[in-house]
Amino acid sequence: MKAIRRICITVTGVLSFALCVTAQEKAPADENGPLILTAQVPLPGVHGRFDHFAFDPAEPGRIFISALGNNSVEVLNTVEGTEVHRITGIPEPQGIAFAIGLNKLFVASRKGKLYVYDGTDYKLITAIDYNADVDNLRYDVPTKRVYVGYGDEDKAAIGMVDATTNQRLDEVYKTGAHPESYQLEKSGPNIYVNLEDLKQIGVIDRTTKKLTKWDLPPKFEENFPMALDEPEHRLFIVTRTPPRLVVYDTNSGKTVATLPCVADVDDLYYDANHKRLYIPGGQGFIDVFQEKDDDHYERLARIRTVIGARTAGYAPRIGKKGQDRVYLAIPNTPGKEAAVWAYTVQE
Amino acid sequence: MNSFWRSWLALSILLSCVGAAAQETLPIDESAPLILVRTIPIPGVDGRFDHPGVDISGGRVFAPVYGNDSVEVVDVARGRRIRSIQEGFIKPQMVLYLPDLNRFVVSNKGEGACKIFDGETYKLIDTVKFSDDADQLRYDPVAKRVYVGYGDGAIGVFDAKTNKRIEGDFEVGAHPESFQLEQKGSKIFVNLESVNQIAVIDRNTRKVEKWKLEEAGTNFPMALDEAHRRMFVGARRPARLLVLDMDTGKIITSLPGAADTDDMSFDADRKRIYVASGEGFIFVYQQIDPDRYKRIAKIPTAIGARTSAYYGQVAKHNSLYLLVPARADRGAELWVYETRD
Repeated sequence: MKAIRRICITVTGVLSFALCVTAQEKAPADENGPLILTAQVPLPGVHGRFDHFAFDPAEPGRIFISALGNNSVEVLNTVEGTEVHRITGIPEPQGIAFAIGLNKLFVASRKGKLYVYDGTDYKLITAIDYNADVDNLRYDVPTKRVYVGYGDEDKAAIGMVDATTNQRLDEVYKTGAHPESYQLEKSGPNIYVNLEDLKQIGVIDRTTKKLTKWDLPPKFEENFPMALDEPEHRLFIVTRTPPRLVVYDTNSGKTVATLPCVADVDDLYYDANHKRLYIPGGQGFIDVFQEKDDDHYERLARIRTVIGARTAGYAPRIGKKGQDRVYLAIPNTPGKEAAVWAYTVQE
Repeated sequence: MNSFWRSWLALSILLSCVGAAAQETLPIDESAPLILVRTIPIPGVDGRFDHPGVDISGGRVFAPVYGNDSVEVVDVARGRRIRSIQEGFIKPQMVLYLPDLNRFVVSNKGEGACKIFDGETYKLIDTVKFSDDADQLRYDPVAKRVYVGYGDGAIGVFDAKTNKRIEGDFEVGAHPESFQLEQKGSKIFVNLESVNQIAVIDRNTRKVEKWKLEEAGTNFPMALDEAHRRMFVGARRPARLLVLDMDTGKIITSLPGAADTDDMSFDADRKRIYVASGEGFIFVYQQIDPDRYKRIAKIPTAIGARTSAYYGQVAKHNSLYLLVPARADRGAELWVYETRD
């Protein structure tokens, strides 16, 4: 009997040890993970969903977030972990761009206007009329121009605003469908743009004004976010149906890789320092992919976040200052305030 | 069994429970047909929800709160509740959105009233009265008619432009629960849960036929797959999913179903049936072919969440909306599920 008892105790011990170890291995806080949650900044009183992010490269830690559902833009100091200002009265803000040097903030409203604010006192300088859904913005530093994606069908285009004078330029690039996320080439004339309604990617040559279109893989649709690795000629998009990361060669317009990823994706970032992709999804994860080489990618980590947290911003380190960070917007839930979570990128 | 063996057994059971708990926290099943992607708070609302209406182009969900005498309007693109309407509702049971007129209709159990609102201003336009217990609503956009299940029981009709009742209700003999209008034909199929029957109305000849359900009854929700001439019925007692031939009433097959169910939808793109159940699950069935079906998922939700809506693509998402009533530890919410192929 004693022998049996000893065996049983041993078996139980081994079993419990094994279970504990397994449980620990499954614990979400992975000390070697590519992203570590290092700050949580509360945004009390902010209701509804968030949209895009912008950063002030001159003042690391200052970030701007469109609180689409709350008709406001939240200005945060993530070094101090506080909200420094709330710009209110913007109907359904979407895209946001900060013009460094001019210290101006551009905010796109789904209700038809582009708002321009002073970056110091956050006072409204002017509002530019589009009478269309104004969505994604990009700031081009060398030309001091803000690119503006707006409109549907015949009205759909990417236009430009002179960030110094706040005037619309006459030149526009017609896209034929509402421009979702787009990226400006720095060393070439192209603009790559997601044309979700057409299940295509548009390539605009800014010199010739020619628009070329690439199809999504068969049965793929809902391509919203986009990122670009210009030196390696790679374009990244994510489709919601099915949830996939799709990698294109920008020289050939052909896909080189397709990988399953998190569902309900609205943002996608390429981290050139670590050759990684950060993909937050409303399913409640950030998927991190590692670029092995130009044509090979693998999922490095799947980081559990919060259901509904589908928009984020990535701010790379500037020179030796600060840290590489991914910021994730967390919408409010019953009994819990909205917040911004800051993840520090690990080597 | 001596005390030692008893304690060893207890410990082993305990350990396996720990194992089971750990399993629940594992990453979500990658092949799940529905993924919860958003939870939108509906603050200050107690009591149970009833059948929601959906404005596809405007991205709005209208949630009647039976237990709160209100209609909550959620803007899914903005991710927030944008309005709470209290306009003398007495146990509101369903909201029907009329896309061509940008209006919505709210049926009430109390006074049998159907209240019609402007979709832009949310102002009350008119009230159409039925004798009692106005419940489910359906819209025929071609004839611009609203069909209303009421009382004990009949399907009444009113003109959506004039808000005047059209004479000649279809008497069915018991309170109508879910009913469906045939789009490529003249039939109306009506669940009569109290008598375990389905009434089949011909809108042209006005003939009413009745199919008796032998295997399972207390039949509340219903959905149609007209292309394959199939009707899906959710029976509560016993809990079964019944698949019927729309033309003959013959039961094609039946599968274990969801208890306490109130809404079901057929997703023609994915050939799936979604059934919300108050026991805290969404049951998902796959149509293999018109005669064969398989339950492919039982997705945990929240206790009491038994009303839902699926309308295909709304605000650039393929979403199933689930209304989750307030629980002890959390306020009411709209849960948004993304469908996955």
